[in-house]
Amino acid sequence: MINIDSRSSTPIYQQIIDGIKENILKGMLNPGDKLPSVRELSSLITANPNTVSRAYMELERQKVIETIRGRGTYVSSLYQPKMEEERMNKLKDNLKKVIIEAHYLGLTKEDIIDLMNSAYNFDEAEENKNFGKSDKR
Amino acid sequence: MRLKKIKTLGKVIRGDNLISVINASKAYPYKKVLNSINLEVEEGSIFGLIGPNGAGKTTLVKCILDIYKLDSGEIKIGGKNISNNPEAKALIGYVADENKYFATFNIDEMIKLYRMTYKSFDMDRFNELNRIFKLPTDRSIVRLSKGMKMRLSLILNLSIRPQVLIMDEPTSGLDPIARKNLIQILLDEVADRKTTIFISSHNLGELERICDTVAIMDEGQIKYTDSLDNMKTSMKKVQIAFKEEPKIKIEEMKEFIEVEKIGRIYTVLTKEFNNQLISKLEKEGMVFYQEINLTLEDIFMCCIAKGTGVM
Repeated sequence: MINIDSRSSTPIYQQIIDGIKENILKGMLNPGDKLPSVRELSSLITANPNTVSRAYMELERQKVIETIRGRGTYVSSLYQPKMEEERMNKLKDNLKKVIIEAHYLGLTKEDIIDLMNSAYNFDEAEENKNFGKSDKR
Repeated sequence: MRLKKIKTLGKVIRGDNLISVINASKAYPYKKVLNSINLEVEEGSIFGLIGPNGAGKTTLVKCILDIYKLDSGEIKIGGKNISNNPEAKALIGYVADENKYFATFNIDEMIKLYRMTYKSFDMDRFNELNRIFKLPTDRSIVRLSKGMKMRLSLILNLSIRPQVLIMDEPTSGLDPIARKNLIQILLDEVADRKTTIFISSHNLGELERICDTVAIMDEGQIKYTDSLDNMKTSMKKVQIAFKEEPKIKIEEMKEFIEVEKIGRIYTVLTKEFNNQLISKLEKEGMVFYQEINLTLEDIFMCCIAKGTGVM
């Protein structure tokens, strides 16, 4: 359920935090669901139990999860994932990747903007067609 | 010694250091091998020691175990000086890089020897582990392969229920499945018993996944030690590209620990990748930058290549 890349420059505890939040966002974990214990998760993803424990503590501090003594750790019923913000960040990341790719292809910033404009124009043209209007461009 | 306990999420966090190496120095007639080493290993943590061949890792391990005597300095296990201290030594399991057991013994006789030596030896634990590692207990040591001897050493030393487990290249000679099993067993040891684990290894990928703290050793000195999380948040590996050749020499900028150049793209290691540096580079005509993965191997190479402490 969580993918850990130990070679990544993101520390493993941060990857666990992001992974659990992503699972909540995708609806794979719902408020009130029980999370695996520190030991179980550390086994599952082959990570140091101290690291898992640190991630859980941070998630608890952010009120994403809550621990009920003697019963285990649960997704907090109050947690409202900030869908828009997270999706916005994802979009930004994707755009960045595209720009880097374009740079490797030898495109300048102006070329990329031109490409973007033509992409927008294409959409508009399609829309116009659907409405039965003539293409002005 | 009273241990301060704070219970959170089923894990006991204790501030105490189970292994303390204080100003340890040792010289062989031909070479100074340990040069004022200072190290602290926290209880219940996994500590990785890395360094090139001949850096002094095995010597340090043997000094921690009091197999070799220090010229000066001190080593404490659980707060007690290790030198001539059987009580402190009883807490330690030691898996050596080469396992030289009595060749005429068979495994059953080795178990007997361990039971006599360590009061804490747990036969149930031995059987439990041997269901994973599958050693024929009537086989004599001389007829065991290198990997089988390593398995034996691991099982024996885990069966004494150690508080500190010191291992020198524990995965050498093990097949991939045995390696995976071993790592799982070590993680369970830490989760269930708060065992403190000290690993000296060249297998950086494995260490990167399981260690809390790593120390990089070279020429008898600790060049860099920090938690892996801190290493990865403080140091960044960044690719930078310029429109045209920048006026300032990127290689000579003091912000960069290491610079590599392929075509128009620079790959730099830095601890100061902030807005200030970014705007400085943009003035020089930087057209894009991208943070890329920084591995333990990168940090290791950089430390050893520089020769001096980077951080």
